[in-house]
Amino acid sequence: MSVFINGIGAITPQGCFPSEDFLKEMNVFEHGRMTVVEPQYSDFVTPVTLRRMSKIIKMGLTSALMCLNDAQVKKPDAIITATGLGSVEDTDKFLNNLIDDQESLLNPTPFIQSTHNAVAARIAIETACRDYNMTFVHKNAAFEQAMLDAILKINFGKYKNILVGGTEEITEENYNLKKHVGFWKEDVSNSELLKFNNTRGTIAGEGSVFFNLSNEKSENSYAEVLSTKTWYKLPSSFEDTLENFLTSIDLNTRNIDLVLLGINGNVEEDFVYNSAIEIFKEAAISWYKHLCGEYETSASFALLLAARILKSKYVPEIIKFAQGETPKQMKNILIYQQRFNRNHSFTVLSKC
Amino acid sequence: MPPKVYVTGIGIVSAIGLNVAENFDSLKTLKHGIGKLENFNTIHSQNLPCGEIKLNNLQLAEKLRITIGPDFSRTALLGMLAAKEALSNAGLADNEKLNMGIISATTVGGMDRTEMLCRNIKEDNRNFIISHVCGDSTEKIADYLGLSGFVSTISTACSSSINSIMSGAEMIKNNLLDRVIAGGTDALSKFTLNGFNSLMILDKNHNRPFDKQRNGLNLGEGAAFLVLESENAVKGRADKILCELTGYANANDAFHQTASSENGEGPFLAMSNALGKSKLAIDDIDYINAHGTGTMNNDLTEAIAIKRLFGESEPLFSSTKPFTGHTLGAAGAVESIFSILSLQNSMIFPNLNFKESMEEISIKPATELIENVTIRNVLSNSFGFGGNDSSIIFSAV
Repeated sequence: MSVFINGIGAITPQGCFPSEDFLKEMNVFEHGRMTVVEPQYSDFVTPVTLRRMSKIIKMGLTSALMCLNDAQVKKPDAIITATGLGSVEDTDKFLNNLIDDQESLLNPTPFIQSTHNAVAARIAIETACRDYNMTFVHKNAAFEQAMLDAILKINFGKYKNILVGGTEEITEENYNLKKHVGFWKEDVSNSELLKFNNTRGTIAGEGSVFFNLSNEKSENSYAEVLSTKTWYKLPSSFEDTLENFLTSIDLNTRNIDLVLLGINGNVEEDFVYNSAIEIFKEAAISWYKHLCGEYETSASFALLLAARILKSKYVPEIIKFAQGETPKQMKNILIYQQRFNRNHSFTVLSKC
Repeated sequence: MPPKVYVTGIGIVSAIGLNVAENFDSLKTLKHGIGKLENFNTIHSQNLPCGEIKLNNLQLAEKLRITIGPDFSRTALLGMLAAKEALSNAGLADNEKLNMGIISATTVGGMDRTEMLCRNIKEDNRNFIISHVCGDSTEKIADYLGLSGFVSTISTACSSSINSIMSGAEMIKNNLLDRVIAGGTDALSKFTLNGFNSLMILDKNHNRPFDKQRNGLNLGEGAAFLVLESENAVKGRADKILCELTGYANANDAFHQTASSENGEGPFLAMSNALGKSKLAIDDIDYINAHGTGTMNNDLTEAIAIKRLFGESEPLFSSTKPFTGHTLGAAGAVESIFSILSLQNSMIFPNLNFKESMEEISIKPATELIENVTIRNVLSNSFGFGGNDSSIIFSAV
């Protein structure tokens, strides 16, 4: 069965992507940490509901509601979310309180909101969706695994509209913690990330992007999702793994018009993309992490970009990685991302 | 027709035993594992009883024959122990692990290390930071077992590991994998202990699910994994089949982040949709391993949902949480294994500490060990925060 993206809701460091000619310019963040441009949440969620919600829940719920609006769906048939860390703000708050106050008189709200499925649960309450509700958390493969789950559910036939999204936040405290293990290039601007790709670390990001996946094409359809697959470690060479994957959906490398790679400027991981860059010399090689930063579910940002490109047939200049010609046609986009040569994923989106 | 899914291996570690045999022995002899905390420092060690595994991390590492650094969470170590037993129980050769995936579930991940070290970061311990995220424990287990293909982690609070088993079954039914090792693992931590305590749902005494005087839950820790195989994959190894996984469903109560709805809509939908999937009738269910945490809210709504679905003649049921405590992300898999032990041994393990039925609804769990009872199909429930409700059905083959 075909699976279409019929709606998107996004809260990202580049804004909400409202217009057709998106990303003419990029929002620049000077100090190695990209944060989302927050919308007016109260346009989507009542102030009473917003009360006590931490940032990730607001972001997740609001982007999900934006997506449903875009798809003109009132109530999804199922909700599947992805997050690596869930609510970092609530987790830190509860942990700090318990250490500082020696385990006494703790406020339970941050504990409740720290559960990884808090966003999915909140969307269920707001949309009165009592059906399937799942949360995948496997590092940078979580979003693709959520997508795969949605595709299986649609193929099964019971579900027509499934809300799938990836949500992550970066807090000051979490950013500082990860400094200790060399995660970041501090004080590097996202606009100059590649100038510093001979050193360790990358830039931090966050965001929430939701998609309405459906078995039926609509007037608002962005693209068709052909397939997505994850591997903890590649089973064979990159070339063979890619070829087998593309063959399984009746494509070959020449059918791919644009490749979106998860390049993040970290000398310790970007070399893994060399095989892909070599194979796709003919395709337009692009990247996206300078627009959203590095976070576990940033593949949802890549999917947003790919879906937008296929719908508008417009490729923003700032995503180009290699100086190639803009492809004559724009039919199939491959997203390939991994981290430290682990949790590789391929996703193919096609014009519809 | 999607392929059938069989369970061919089980492995478990909990407060009542370090393997399946020890757990079974404790269940039969009514030996529970709830007591005072010994493995970590907390002001609650004397007043909040828990189901703790009485081995420290170094002893666990010794059992696993590995050396560990600060990046090994207790969650990972417990998971490795249970997953290793499940895999060896299934008797798979190395080449049979090729198209095998792993789907684990956890709610705390590496929190036990984070809460201990986050205020004292040093050069030689800072790697705990990368093992904090839930998926890290799954990768440690995958590396230990030599699995490298589909590696996934699910976290939906207390229903997490029924959901990982369900997700594994879906991968097999869609012919994406031949075999999956699925389950969950969660270590006790100050974070969860204080979290549940702040919600005022921890019993200072031994928990009493479904009892009128019940006063909350006891936390536990543990890990449990099941090896799932497609009917094709198990050809020639039929002697390894423990049971068939015939039904499963997840539903959402969509009512409140922590409390469940008055009519138990979410639990009702989970149970009835699992039955629908299995194509079994309500009379075919011989036993329910209930979620039964011992909290006022859960036990009443679960009882209401059971009555709504099964009418006046509900099957025998019990909560085994007085044995192990509530093992959170591992609970669904722990209780799936107890359900399979019930099936295999024609035995129902009692709901310890039950004395008096709730006022609101007339329902009474099995309070003594019942032997030689015909069990064809077992339903097991796990319900979690965020209204996440899951049910699973195992059937005799």
